[in-house]
Amino acid sequence: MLEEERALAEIYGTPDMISIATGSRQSVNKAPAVATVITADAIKAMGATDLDEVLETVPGLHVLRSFVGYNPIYSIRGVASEFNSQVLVLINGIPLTNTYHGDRGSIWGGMPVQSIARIEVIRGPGSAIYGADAASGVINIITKTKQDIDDLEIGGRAGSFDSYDGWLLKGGEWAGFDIAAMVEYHETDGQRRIVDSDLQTSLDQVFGTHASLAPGPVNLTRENFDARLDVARGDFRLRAGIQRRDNWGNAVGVAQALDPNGRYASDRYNADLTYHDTDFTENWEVMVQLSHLESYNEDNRSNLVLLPPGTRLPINSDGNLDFGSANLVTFSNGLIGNPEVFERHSRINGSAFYRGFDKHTLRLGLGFNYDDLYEARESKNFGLDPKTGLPIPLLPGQPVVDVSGTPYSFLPTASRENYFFFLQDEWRFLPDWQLTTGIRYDAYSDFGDTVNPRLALVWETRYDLTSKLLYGSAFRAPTFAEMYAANNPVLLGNAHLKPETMDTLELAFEYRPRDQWRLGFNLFYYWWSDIIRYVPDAGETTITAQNAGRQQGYGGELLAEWQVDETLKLSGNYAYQRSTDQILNHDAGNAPHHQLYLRADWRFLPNWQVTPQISCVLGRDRVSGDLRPAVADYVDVDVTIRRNNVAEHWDVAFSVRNLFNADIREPSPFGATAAPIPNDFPQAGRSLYGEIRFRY
Amino acid sequence: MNRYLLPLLLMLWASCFMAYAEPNAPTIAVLYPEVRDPYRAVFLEIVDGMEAELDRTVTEYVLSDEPDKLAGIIADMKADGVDVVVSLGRAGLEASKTLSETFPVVIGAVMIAPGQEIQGVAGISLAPDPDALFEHLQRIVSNVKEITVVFEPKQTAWEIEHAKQAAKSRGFLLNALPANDIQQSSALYRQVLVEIKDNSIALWLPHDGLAMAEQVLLPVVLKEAWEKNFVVFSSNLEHVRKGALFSLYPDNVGMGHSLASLALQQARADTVKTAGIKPLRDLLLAVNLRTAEHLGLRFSGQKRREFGLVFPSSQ
Repeated sequence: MLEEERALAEIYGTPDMISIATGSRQSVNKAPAVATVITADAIKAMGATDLDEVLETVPGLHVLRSFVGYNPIYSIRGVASEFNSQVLVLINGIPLTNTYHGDRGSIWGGMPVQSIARIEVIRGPGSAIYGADAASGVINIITKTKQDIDDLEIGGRAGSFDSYDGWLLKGGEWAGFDIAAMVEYHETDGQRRIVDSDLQTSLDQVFGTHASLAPGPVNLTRENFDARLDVARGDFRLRAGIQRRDNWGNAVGVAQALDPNGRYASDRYNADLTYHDTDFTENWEVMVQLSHLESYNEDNRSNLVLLPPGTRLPINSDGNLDFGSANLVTFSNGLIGNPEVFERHSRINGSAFYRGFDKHTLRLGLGFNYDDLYEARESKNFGLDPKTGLPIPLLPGQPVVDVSGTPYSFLPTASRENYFFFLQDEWRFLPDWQLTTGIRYDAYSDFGDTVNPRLALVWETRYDLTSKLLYGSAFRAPTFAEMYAANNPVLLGNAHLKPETMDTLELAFEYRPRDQWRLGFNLFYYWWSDIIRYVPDAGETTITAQNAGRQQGYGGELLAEWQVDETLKLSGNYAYQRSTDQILNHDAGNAPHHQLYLRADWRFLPNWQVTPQISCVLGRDRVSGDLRPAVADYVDVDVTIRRNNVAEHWDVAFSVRNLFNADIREPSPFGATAAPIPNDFPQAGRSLYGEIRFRY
Repeated sequence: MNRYLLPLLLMLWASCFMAYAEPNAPTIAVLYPEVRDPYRAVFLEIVDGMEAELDRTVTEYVLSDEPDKLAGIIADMKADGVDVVVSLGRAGLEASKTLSETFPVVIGAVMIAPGQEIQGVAGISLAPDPDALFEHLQRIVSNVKEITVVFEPKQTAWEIEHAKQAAKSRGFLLNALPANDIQQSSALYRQVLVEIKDNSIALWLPHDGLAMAEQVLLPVVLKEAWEKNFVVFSSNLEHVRKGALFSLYPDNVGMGHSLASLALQQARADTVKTAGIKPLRDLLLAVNLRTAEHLGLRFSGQKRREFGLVFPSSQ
């Protein structure tokens, strides 16, 4: 039947073009930014099972790990922070951000990829359109619609660490509605590499105890359930989703002392109704979106053990840890604190394109966001007992006391209103020249106003070359923890914080020297200011959030794609960055200076595809004051082999990740004087997965 | 031939009678060759379009390379009470010769010269009508007077014949240059590139691979077009991705609708119909916006909404 395929190729060109032409209509994303788009096909080819594995392939993006449950820290171009609040993660254009920490929720647990149609990653600022937190980058995850699903797809995967996955995707039409329903389930015991020493190890040395559970394995059990529904008719689309995380092991312990028994859970519910009329009037395209996100962040199923049973700690008269106190108390059940945060986020926004002018395209938008941390619960076995006023550690049996809603809780409830509008003009002032000017104004009920402009000059230099000069300003909103944290023995919030700001300048080139080649090259420089850091309070033992940091960085990224022939495509990228903490005059640390990624997609026989990929992460310096040797470089090699139509409608695949069992470690944070986990965070060794899919 | 004619007529008569027996619901089957993804999607979209037109499912038969497969399929079709067969692809065209002995046949999704008369067979060619291409050229760029095309006479003769008529009726001058091999076509393209001085002449790249040595010539053509600001349009969708201004490609779902209504006509005909092969009119427009903007072309919101595909896409 090769003749048949050749005949179709005469009309369409390559098989790739057939996929495009038979897929859903392509939207034009002319956003003049440095962007990467990863499609469902690419995700499948690389054998990725989680969002993080996909994002690691984006030039200049490296996934670091937080001490909180190994949550991902998407460091982009050297910008990294514990809660990663400088990166805006969106699902279908709607933020996933929790306002408590500015992250995606403390019990994140990963995101499966079967429901993802594509991921768009903008490196660089996006606040002129997207608003808060689009500072170092924007990750927009677009989920599948009816058009993306072949009627029915059922799949399963099993592999190392007792991992099991199952998914069902169904697309169809019902009573004139286009419907897509997607369900995904994932469970694993997680990799169990050994942490040889933790925070409790050093406390044991100081206080003569033997409480530490190190050496011991990291605790990465997961039980994830994701379900999504997408219903569309005409210009309306209704989407709803559930992300349920259960049996969540907290990696190295939230206080960086191993907690092998703790299991936690979280729930996220989202819904949106979107009206998108590309044909509103002759020259107007209009979009209106209503959305809601509920997030029950730390619905604990067991006590959150900060330090293990048998720990002995100096406790002051407030019942809190105080290294100045001579009163040593042994916690026979461990030091326990169970914070739970409940948030809801309601948004309404509208935007429109106007194409009625000869040389201008206008885009305008306005909206309102309401972020509500409506409940904060806490129970703990330290601090003061609200009923008796006595220090809890001295009460008989050291009970875990519920302090929710009392002045002794870690956080009051809080809410925030945000009104915004933006305006963008694309001006084609000469046939090959376009200037995009944009500005967004945001008014926040708690920290005030911010204005973020951007400018983009795009020059179609030659038939095979496009050049871009880009400037953008962005902001990162202070989180509720940074503004209102209270009763923490050490950390204090500051209601007078300003947003962090980031200004970025980029020069980018896209070059197609031949049809089969695509090259991209860009240079960037960023200025990150008013970074929120915890600064020691003069004469006190506490530290308070302040706009105290400043960082600058520069670098470049090089991308190449080569379609060698119809069966083989090679792609890769190299990224370089240098970032400096301007206050401490030291390398900003943790993020790699060099990253190299190479991949081959080879259809070596009909229905067979093999995809090897290599990721090199090099040059990760320590932060100022951290005297540990630099984090070791690593080379990670993965191979996925896929056989389609092994029987009619059936596909199978087999993946090996970290083929050479490299000792991959991500940097552990450095405390005031030492790293609580000195030997960094160990990552998975070699792992194997087998997968089967049924498509109908 | 005569010995086939009577049984054929009898069969057709019988099938027409069956169609009469259930005038509201002739059973329509679709036959398409077994191909790999993503090629298969073309046939599946056509089936979707047929089902939407008929408002019911059609029975699908997949033709593999196995010998005698067709005989088995025909037996199955008979058993399933099929009234008319829509036969897709090259293999579908081949099979139609045998199929048409038993059923009325509509062929589709195959490159075949429109206007041909095949006894007992109606159908729609996969080749876009040159007139449709010229119509879009006229709508998108107003100042083109002349169209130049280098073609391979054996493969594209019929397309050029259609094009000549279309050019005449639309007031274009068609400069059609035959080339029998790659050397000739290369020489002709180089000569054409020298001759085209401004945007009053547009260059049309037809289907056949011989006349357009892709790897070598296409980049040269597109680079010259960029520098001299003239229009290049193509019958091959991928050329748009590479920088040609526009192309037309099959609207498979729309084609499914058209094939289904043709099949209904065939099924309901009380006499044998030889509707012949029609050119493809269910077409979508693909535009390269970068090239368009370079040429100073500007599209209203309404015009943009007519585009099936635009390049460069977000990547």
